[in-house]
Amino acid sequence: MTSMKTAPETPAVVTITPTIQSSRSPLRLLIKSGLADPLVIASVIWIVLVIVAITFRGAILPAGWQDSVLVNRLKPPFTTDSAGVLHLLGTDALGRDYLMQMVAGTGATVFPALTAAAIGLVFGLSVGAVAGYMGGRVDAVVLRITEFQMAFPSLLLAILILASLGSSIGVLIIVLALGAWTGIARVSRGLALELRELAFVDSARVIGGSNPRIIIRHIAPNLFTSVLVLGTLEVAALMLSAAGLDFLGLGVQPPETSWGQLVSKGRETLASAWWLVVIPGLAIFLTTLAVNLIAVWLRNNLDVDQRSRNLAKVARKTEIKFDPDETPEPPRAQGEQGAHSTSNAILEVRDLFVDFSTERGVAKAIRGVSWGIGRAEVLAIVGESGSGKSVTARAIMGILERPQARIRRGAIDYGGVDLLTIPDSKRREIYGAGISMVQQDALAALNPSATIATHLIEVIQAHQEGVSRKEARDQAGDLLRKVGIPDPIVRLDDYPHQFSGGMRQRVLIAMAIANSPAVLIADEPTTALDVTIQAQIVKLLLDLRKSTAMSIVLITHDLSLVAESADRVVVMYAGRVMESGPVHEIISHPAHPYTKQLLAATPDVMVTSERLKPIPGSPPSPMRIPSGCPFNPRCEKAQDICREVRPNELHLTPTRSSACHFAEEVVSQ
Amino acid sequence: MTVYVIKRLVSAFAVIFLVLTAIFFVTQLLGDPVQLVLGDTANPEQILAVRDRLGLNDPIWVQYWHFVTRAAQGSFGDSFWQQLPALGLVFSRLPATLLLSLATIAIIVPIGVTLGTLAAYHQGSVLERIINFFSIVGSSLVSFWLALMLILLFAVTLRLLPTSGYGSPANIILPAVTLATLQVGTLAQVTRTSVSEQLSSSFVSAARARGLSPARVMIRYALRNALIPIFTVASGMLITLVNGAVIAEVVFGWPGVGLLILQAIQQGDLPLIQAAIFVTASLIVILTLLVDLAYLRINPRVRLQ
Ligand code: SF4
Repeated sequence: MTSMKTAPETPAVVTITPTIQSSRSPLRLLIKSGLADPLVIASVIWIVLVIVAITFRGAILPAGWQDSVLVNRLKPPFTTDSAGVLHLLGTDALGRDYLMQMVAGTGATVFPALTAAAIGLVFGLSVGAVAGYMGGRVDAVVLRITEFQMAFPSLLLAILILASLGSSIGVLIIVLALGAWTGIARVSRGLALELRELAFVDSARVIGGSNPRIIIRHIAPNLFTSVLVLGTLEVAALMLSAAGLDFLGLGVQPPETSWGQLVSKGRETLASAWWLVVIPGLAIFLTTLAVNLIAVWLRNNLDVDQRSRNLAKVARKTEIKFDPDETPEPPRAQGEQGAHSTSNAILEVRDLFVDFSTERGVAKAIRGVSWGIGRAEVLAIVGESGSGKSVTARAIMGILERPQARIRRGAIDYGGVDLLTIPDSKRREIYGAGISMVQQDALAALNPSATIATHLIEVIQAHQEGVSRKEARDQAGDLLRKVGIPDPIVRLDDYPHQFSGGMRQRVLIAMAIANSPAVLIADEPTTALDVTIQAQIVKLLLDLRKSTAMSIVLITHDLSLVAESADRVVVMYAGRVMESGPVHEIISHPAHPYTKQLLAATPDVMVTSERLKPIPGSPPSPMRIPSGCPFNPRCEKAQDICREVRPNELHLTPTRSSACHFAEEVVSQ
Repeated sequence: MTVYVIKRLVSAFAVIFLVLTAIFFVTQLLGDPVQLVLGDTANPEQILAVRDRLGLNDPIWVQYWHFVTRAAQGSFGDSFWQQLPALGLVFSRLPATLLLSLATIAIIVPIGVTLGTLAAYHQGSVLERIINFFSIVGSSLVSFWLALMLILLFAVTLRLLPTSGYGSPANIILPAVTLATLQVGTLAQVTRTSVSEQLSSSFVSAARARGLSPARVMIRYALRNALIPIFTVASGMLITLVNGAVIAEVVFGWPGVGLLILQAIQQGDLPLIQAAIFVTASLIVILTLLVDLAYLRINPRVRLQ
């Protein structure tokens, strides 16, 4: 296939799908991100210093470091003593070099927390894993025990045990581990449950010997990451607890010294020798901070969810180029009718492009969509899920997912202004009043902690000036009656979850018509409902259209719904409009193979004797849209040209157009 | 709902009973209390007499039974150290602990929630990083050291506030600020996460699509529905404070239950230790119960079940 042979006036299509390479090894990514972060580097250096102080303690400490030299008492940092020796961190109340005291105390500060974290980790992991695997009784008992221990004041328990058994490093470690294991056991229980589920699911599917591989390749790394992060955080938390116990005189006992102890001792001379308190406390803080920062760094770079979130950030910055064939629509002459629109259009979408940044690259959800809706018209936008029909609706209403979604180009004309360029405050005056929307999932669209009255009153008061709460409430009651909710006044004070699905949908409609909108956008308004209720909701919408002359944009994948309610149809596929026209014409004589195959796959609409024929394959991913006609891999009529050249809009009649190379042939069949 | 409340009450009582049992057996390890009462100079007859009076010659199960029944009647015996009913002593210290905990929460909640909400609104802003930093610094700080640093700065150097004591409003500032600094970042972080979660929910975009003002969407929709996690964390903090104010109480000489427990341990005052730990643990159980019941008010969906 060479692009040289294609017609020169239509450039060949190049699909640009920038994707983030994620094949680099996690360890290298981890190290790279660590080197890029000064906080991580500083933390690592500090921890290395701490390790050096512990391992080479004997070599660092000079002979007689514990001997008091009373002439040198309480020298501030950076001073020299009588013998001319520089004391970097000053001297303590007995004239001993404070830096050496600090070095001597490092081990006793870090060691109990580290050991306790290790014990807590091992114990918590095994108990949790056993509980998660065994389930049932064992699980219940373990859960109870952890709950009980959490209710018991942990610090008090530690103090009590230390006071009862006497303070020693061993008891200190046990007490600390006792405080650490419950949290870890809960996490590991959750992981074990997940693992069991996965193992079960896979063996049920019989994928042969791949089970251990799944565990090694997918579950083990996640487990490892969680444990690593959890363990690191636990070390930091236990260091704080241990320091607290040291400070209270219940932890490490003399002659051993620890930083917590040094703070406690220095407290007596706080006013005269600040450094005796500031330095050891700062050292505890820096060590804990370093450990915490490393935990955060590990989590951000090893955790799968976090990593994809980071990648999404990168993807957002990626510059996307327009395809050669994404040339802007030519400017229209004044009064000329837009593509897929009507002569008296009240709301018009023009040449709209919307992209989404995902962790795998940029998804082009909408690529040059145009349509318009006339006064009191019911316009159906049909297409499979992922065709971009809902994205268009959300773009109109200004509720595209931020920050992933981006409108790259286009205009949305309403009442003589472009909704995409006017200020937010002006747009808010239009939303809910001039244009309003009915969402698909009514339960999700309502505030769970507000009554229906609150919902209705706020939307009325937001758009109608000088309406009192009382008047708004009366209006709200009338609205509920209008949409056919029995006992409207009583039901006003109910919460969304107290309504049935159909009734909730009516509530949404009541809110949408509260300010007599010119256009109502109904996004799959009946999908979540059962058939009889669907029919009632559609009838309600059509009745409202009749009584108020509002226009309705009906977004749906349900062709039978379109057949019985719409005036005009826009068919969408892979982010573009395939064809448009009056509903009966499209159903009886589709001008695009996609519409044709869609109809053939839909019961009820094709009353003819033809059997149902599902469309082969599935819609393309918005990351990898086929070149040429986006429908070509699934199209029955596809030819070579379809794979190379994207079809232009073909106007069959003033009200009908189709984006197929063979539109005329298709429509005449 | 009544069934739920009754269930919660029963389980709360069960936990309190377990706490009582745990206290009894752990304090058995403390050693012979008679030595503590009489000192080293007592002769064997005296010791025997006191052991009898305290019921220490009975088998352990009988002792346990006595302990539990007396506790049920609200008695842990007299404090060895102060020669007063132990429970009464603990109760006299309770207001100080509660006052400090509530004052701390009164600092944490408004600041944490406001910062968190603002950070959720301005996603990816500097504020978000400041909050993350604060939260990690707060969870790396040792309370006693922070307390001493604040004393050094505000009491010793600037002489603005008293170093320690109880009674005047100025006394509570430093301990409360110390405890609040440790936790405020965490609450801000939780607020930011749960508010931004709500902000990306369908009902928030539905509210935007109805043209409601950003302030209303933020407060009535996002924040209102983020309250449950915020409330969980804040109440957890209150519980930690009741539990863990010991160190702050020691540093600032704040006469709360925590300081009392430490003193009782130093004195080997068995009844006082038992009473103080029992009261603290029960307080935590009661607070947890109140928190669970408060969920019923916050979340209308729970109310029906
Ligand atoms: S252009 Fe080709 S592939 Fe596309 S719908 Fe028409 S016939 Fe099918």
